[in-house]
Amino acid sequence: MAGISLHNVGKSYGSVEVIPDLSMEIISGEFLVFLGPSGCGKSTLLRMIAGLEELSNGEILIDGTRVDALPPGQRGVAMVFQHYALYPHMTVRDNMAFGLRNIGMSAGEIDRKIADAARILEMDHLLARKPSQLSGGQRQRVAIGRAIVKEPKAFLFDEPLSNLDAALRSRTRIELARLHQQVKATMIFVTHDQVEAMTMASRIAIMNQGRIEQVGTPLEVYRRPRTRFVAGFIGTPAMNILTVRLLGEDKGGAVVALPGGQRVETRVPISGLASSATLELGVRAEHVTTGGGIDGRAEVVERLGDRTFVYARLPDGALVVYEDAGDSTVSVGDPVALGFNPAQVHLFDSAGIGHHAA
Amino acid sequence: MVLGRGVKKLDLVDMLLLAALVGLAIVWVAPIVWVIGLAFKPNDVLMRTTGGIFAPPFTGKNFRDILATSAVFGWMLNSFIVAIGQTFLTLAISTLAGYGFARTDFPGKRIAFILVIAGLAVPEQAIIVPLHTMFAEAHLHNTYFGLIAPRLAFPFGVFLMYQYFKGVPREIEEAAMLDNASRLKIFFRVVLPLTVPAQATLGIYTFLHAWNEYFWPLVSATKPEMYTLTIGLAATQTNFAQTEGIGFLMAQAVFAGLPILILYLFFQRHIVTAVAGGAGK
Repeated sequence: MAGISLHNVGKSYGSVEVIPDLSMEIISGEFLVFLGPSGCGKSTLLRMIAGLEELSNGEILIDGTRVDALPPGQRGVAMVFQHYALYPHMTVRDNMAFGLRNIGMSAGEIDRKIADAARILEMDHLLARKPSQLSGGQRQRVAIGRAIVKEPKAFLFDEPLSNLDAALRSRTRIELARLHQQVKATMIFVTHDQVEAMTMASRIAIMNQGRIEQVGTPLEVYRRPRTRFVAGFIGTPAMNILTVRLLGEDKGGAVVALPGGQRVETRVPISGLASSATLELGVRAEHVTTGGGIDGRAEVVERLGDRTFVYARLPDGALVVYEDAGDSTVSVGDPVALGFNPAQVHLFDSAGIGHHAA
Repeated sequence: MVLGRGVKKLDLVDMLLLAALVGLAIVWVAPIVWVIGLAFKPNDVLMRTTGGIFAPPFTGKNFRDILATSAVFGWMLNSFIVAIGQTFLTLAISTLAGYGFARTDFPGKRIAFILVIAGLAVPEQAIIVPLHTMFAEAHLHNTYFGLIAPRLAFPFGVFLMYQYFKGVPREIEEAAMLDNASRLKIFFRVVLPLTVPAQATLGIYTFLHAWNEYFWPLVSATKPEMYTLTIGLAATQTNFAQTEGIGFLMAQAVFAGLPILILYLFFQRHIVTAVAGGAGK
């Protein structure tokens, strides 16, 4: 178990800058998820921590020791790859033993560690098989087992669930969360799937174009997105974003107007907003209320059983999604009157920085 | 068209194809059957006629004569040494070069690879004279090294292995790096075992080619004790008057073909791949 420090880490491929300058602290024992769209640099960052990519600048410390000049095998980390990367010609047992033999561990100790890992992952019956004789889920387990036996300072996961079907993915998510509680090691997990991030992470680091947009607990990033990018990336359906105009202040919160002129009250302090050239309002579907003064017309109705998402078109052309009851009677084409819960409205300035209710 | 139990009936096109294939197979097999048949006939009978190979009398004398007198064992040994030497060295060189080109970076790699690939376009005949001169000056003719060396620089083998290494997921090597394995260990313990199918293909292709090679041994092996099988058999056939008769000649041919037949029985699947892969060369 160890903390990991990234100091001014950068990575360029020729003239292409993938990660310009990134610093952050990964707390010992936490489950940190790097979340972001494809090409945002999250896998590159993980590979730099693992030692599979060289740094263009900056330094990486694991447990206080600088490791960026060390080869991957000497950094004390274990990695689970997206495509498992098991050695196809070795049995499961040999796959798990390979790394231990390389550090000169005794055969008895290796057997004990493999037995422990196999028990934790319930895969004793697979030890004599080759990877080709395993299902996708079983291979994933072996890949995790291969990491566990090394008792690393940190586990690195590179989108390890993306090749599993939906049911298995959800089960493996739970198993990984349980494993984290069991082994209490630092785990860094890279994914583009926000459900994985929200369900497993102690903290999420949301990345965009090689930069960290926000680091926080799942609820922090959901409830108080630091930037407009985070607001749009986290949450399904995505947060409603509407262009607005600042009217003034009322009861300590900014008052804005939609393009159609409808007035919207917020609890967002006005300081720092007046100087912004443009403003955007963000509100989640569950914080849009019915019976307000914003008229629209239902365009799409998504019935999920326990709740219904209604996509309503406003007269100015904007589309607003709101959450209705599971037995909602709204049909396509029906007129709807909407309002926004002032305490849950966010405003984003022209730099994309979020301002929230105090 | 699939033949076997519980399979669909053959339609007309299938039957025509099948008939054509059977016809071609007969054309191909007939001379071999004829050679085998003649090998079991007495030479005095063959002096009169080479027809009627399926009718008695038959004899095993031709094969007994080979065991007793022929130089074919010596030639066969030479062929074995040359073919096996060439196979192992080609495998070693092609594998290392293929891995180098596929996985490592070094200055001039691109140009070196283009040069190797360009080697595919140079026919053996085009370089035979300089090769002969070079080996003559180095006094390497009539040596095993002289017979083996020219084909070791084998662009097709390098290219085959390069392609195969490219196909091995890089993640597997990275996993081994994280498992604290050295570069050599990764190559020998992790990557090399994954290329066994390509090694088998290249090995068999090289062995067959070396076993059947005629042109270079004809140039390089001028002393009868250094003849390979192909040169030895050709020498006896072109000097028919001095042989022990046509039955004996045919028995030698059958005898010479046996190792390849045995090889084929054991490595049938890989030979098909090797021939299919080598067809584009």
